[in-house]
Amino acid sequence: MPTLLLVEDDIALRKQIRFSLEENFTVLEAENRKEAMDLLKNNSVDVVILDLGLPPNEGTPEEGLTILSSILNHYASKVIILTGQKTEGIALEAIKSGAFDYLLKPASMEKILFSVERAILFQDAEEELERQGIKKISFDIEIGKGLQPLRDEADKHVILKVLKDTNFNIYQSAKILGVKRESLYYFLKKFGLKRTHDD
Amino acid sequence: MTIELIYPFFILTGLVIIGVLLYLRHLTRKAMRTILEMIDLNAKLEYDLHQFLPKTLPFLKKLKIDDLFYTIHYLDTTIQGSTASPGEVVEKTIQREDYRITVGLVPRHTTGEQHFINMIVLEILSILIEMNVLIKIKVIHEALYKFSKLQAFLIHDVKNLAQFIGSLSYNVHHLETSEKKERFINYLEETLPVISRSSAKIIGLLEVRGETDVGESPPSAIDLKSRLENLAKHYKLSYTITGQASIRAEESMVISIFDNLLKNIYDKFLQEPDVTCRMDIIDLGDNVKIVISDTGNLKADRNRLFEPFYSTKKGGLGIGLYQARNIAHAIKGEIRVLPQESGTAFEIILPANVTM
Repeated sequence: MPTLLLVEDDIALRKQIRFSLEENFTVLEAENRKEAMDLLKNNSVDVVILDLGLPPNEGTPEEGLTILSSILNHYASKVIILTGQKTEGIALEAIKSGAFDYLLKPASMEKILFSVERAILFQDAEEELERQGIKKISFDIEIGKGLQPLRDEADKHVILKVLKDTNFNIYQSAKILGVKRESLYYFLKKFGLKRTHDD
Repeated sequence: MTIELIYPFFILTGLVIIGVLLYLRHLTRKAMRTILEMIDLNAKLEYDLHQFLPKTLPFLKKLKIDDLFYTIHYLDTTIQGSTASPGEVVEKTIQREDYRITVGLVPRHTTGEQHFINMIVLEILSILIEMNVLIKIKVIHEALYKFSKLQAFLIHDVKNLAQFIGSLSYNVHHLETSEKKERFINYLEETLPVISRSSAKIIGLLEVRGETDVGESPPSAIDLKSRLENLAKHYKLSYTITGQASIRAEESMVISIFDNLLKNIYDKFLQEPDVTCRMDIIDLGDNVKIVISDTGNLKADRNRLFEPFYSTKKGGLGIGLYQARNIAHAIKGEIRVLPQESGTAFEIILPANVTM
């Protein structure tokens, strides 16, 4: 059964959404960033339904966007934003960061379920492709600045992905990428890639 | 010609000087008195330009100024008043980013001492008008800011409520088995206290400007220890609690006071995981004293904690403690912050039997 993490500080609402989902999914619940990150660390989560206005700053999307960024940087989970924070800027920022979907409250349960099912479908498809050795890498690039920034960005993302997969093992990464270790060190320096605490 | 013959001239000159000085003193006192009366009038009319300016003419006439004209633009508003037949005028224009003020006087004459009186009156009138415009702009900006904050919070809570009702309705239509029904009811029972608190919060926001309404149902006995423990557990706080007492009051109001205080500790706990909370309940006979303290850092100004719309939280509404104090007052209680070197402590005194 796919695992779903529900990050929502309104417990009454969280329980109702949980009730709708728990027949088909293993549902985990978190009401703040710490709880969400702890659950992500200890479980393999396929989809996260994320509210943006979370304590201690419920009035701003800041806390939610921080969680979104942590998830996308460290986990393969798909993130569906379910929020009352309606501004084009926030939606754009969330989607640009890599959120799978952006649903505005109040969203019908049918819509939420449909989005979750789509996210699972994409997740399964990506896992299948990964098994075949094909990895999906996405990044944003400004069109019209020539091909060099595109190549650099592609190189950077491929290298970062492989490094993460190998837990920053330089020997293994160089082998997978088919380059010499010296070349990999050169790229690490060029792109300023460092092993972060969470990696 | 002897020196004695010059004495009368000296005396005459001296008398003239004294006469002029006395006249100038009289004029200055009259001008100052009239100006003070105008300043006083402005305060009495609550710095409202629409009321103040038309009422200044009788004062100006005392100072031999026959008429006044003005054009004031601020926040897409124009206030205008002009004389029908301007003679010789003295005027001043103040141009700033948010406003433009032109004010002019039509004095009876502009020579001698009147010239100086005209200039003083013009300067003071300009200052009064500019001050009133600035007060108006500040009040409007603050009101709009507070209104938009309040609106954002209400929209947020109402959206959550709408989402809750939508999800609830969906679930009610999908209770196919008895197991599902039981689970559904369990979830509702578990979240019922939170739903009550949310509803009290929304009502509190709607009543933020007025007196907090009190319920009509007869008050029931509330065991403070169990209610405080439930709230502390809900916020997952690390706490200690001492004492025990119960009060008779409307439960939602009492809980709302404690909820606001413990929610603040929870917000601190999210940033400082070591924060602990202590709650002491002291039975004083006719009153009950509750001291709620925490070990977290107080970022806010201690003197402004109960000020409405004051918040150090990003996007915070700053209404929680103000609301808590309003409720405490409504049930004839009191809430205050205790002076201490580290952490924060609130003392709440509530009557043991709330009679409205």
